[in-house]
Amino acid sequence: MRNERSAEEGHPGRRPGSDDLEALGAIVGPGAVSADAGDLAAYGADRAVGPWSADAGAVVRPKTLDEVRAVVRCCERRGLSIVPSGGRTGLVGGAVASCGEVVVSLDRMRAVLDVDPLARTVRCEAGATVAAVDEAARAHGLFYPVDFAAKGTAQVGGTIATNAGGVRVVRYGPTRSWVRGLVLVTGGGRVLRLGRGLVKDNTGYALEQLVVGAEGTLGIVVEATLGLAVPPRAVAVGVVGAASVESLLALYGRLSGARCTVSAFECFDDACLDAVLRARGETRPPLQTTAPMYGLVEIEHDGESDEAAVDALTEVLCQAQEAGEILDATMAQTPAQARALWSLRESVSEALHPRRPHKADVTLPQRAMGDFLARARALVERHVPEGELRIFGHLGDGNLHVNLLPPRDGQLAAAALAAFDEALYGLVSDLGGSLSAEHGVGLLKRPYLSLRRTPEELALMRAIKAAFDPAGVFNPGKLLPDDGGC
Amino acid sequence: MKILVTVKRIPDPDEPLKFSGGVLDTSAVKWVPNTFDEYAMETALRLAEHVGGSQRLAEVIVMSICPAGQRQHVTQFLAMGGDRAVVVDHDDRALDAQTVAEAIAAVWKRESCDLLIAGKLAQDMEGNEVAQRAAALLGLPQATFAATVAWDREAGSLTVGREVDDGVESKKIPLPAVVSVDLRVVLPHSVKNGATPDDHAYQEGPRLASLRGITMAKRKKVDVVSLADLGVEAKNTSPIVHAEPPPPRPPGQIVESVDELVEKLATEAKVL
Repeated sequence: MRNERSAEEGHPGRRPGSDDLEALGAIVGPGAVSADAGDLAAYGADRAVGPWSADAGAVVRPKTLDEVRAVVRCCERRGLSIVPSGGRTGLVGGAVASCGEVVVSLDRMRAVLDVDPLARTVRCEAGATVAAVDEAARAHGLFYPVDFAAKGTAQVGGTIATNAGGVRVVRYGPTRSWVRGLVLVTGGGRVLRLGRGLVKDNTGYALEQLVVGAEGTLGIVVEATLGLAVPPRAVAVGVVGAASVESLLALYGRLSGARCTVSAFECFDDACLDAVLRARGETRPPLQTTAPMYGLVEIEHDGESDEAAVDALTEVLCQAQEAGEILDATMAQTPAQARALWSLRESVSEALHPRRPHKADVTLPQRAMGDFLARARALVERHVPEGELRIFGHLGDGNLHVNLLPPRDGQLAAAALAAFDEALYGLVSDLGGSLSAEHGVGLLKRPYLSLRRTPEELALMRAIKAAFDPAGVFNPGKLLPDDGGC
Repeated sequence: MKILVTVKRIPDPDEPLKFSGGVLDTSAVKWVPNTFDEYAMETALRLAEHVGGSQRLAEVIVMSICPAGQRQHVTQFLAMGGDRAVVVDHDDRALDAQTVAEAIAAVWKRESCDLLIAGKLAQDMEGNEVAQRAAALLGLPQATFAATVAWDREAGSLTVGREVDDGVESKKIPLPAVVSVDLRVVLPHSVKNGATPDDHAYQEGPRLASLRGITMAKRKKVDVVSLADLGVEAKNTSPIVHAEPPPPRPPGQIVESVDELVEKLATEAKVL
């Protein structure tokens, strides 16, 4: 049963039949293959909201590298497509199986294998959660600095596939900065051991970096070696209220001027805070005065105690208040209070989720931020006036999450949303920004990729895809604009 | 009115403890305020402030026993809104509950206080006896485990709701008095002072310090006194003779199937 597909054609594979399930079961064991409707629905979807429905053909859960190789070879031979699958917390449909694909889940490959405190690295199977990796690092007095709300569920392999960012990119960079090596099963079941854990390795193309952010189109990451960092001696966390993002950015500049090491600089608007408090059944905001926009600031400090860090941040915030950049501020005085302030920001996405927001995740040059928000509001007015705009994100990185909520008792028309997206991404592009800051492209942003990538770049990307995956078996229909789909 | 709020620093309950030589290794400890003392402070501030008005109805004095150089927690309570502080310069871990209560009683008398508000217990030793001992030493009425507090300023009394096993007990006590608080006292409508509108909803939980509170806290008056100044003898009739961590729990197991789970429950856990 030779499959004639190729990466250029990018056809989705056929839906697996009972003989395919049997063949996969012979590799991983019958208990680790499922065509149960509940499994297919659960593993076919991620956290994205879009015009598709979950329709996986099978779920396969291999336990070893050899099983992954054999599954890949089996799928290639039988003309089945593969969706590599981690914690499925992605927000652009990169892990969606909607064409009867075989979901290859790393759920059973969760081991944290080894922490090397001298090299400051951790080696783990790709199904380990980001939280598990961080916990293992902390047992050695180190930590894994990629940090985001879903880290208890998100798996390392998925964060590599999406180059996950999060709340400390402003200080530590995204996942890409921490991948020291990975083991990839790619087309033909070839096993590539890339990077191999070294910080310095100038031996030509950094192939492991091609895999970071490739959204599972080049193969399945089965193991990773990640860099670790030394935790700061002390941190201080404050939440400030401000009139606008421009005011918050003025504070951000002031913090740099005061030589503060900013480890997070987040923002969320008043309606986001309201949603979080509502979800908890609480009514009062944490600040004494309300503000249209809030910022969460975290700084690191080399002093002996958190008190010194709080003093340093207090001084800058007092200056910012005198200069009129912020309206009010509250500071955490204990680790528990710091966690409570953080939870206000980190709960936003979860608090909005029940209303099925239409999401955009954009980066802009900081100086264009104010202009962008004003014009984005105008676009909402023009295309989807009944939609409710919610803004939050990682302001220090210039990364805003633009969420559009449907009215409480209705829906937003798909055509209107498509027109809004096109206008929004056009605006982002005009202002020198990117249409995906950290979520990736997946299914959701595929139509707009050419706004950010030139035809020459897209042609190179396709050539790279074909070199890794000549049969086009890995995640067809994702990322590349004209790559199949169903 | 003068409200005395007693506060204690404890090892951060969210951090693992280190032990060496049969004692807790305090050099590795991150000190944080006892949570129930934060509730006590919040209660005092809600009684003292007139939301919507400008007049303050009470002075809130923070008291703590700790080495004078390690009073960050006292500054934190002042940043929440305490007016001033009295620090008794002594290692509180070397004192028993009776001595702590004697020191509190001595400060109460020195400051001529009207109301003592304490957390129901400190989370480190979970003694739950200091407020009661202080009330006995001072010969004052007490209401422990307060979930609600309403102040009748004209009558000079408090009505305290206490959550007991079979419901809520409402207790009216004349001032001066001792109150120890439980966690529900920081719900939005738990404390009333007769001046702040009764329907005013406070935030849930103890308030966070504002920027202004933090900058002001450093300038607030802190009296440092010794136990000798208070005429209290340092005693410890219940010293800790040995401390060690509990044995580690065996790790959990991940089973591959329901059958395996049932088998393990029957043969290993022996619960089926």
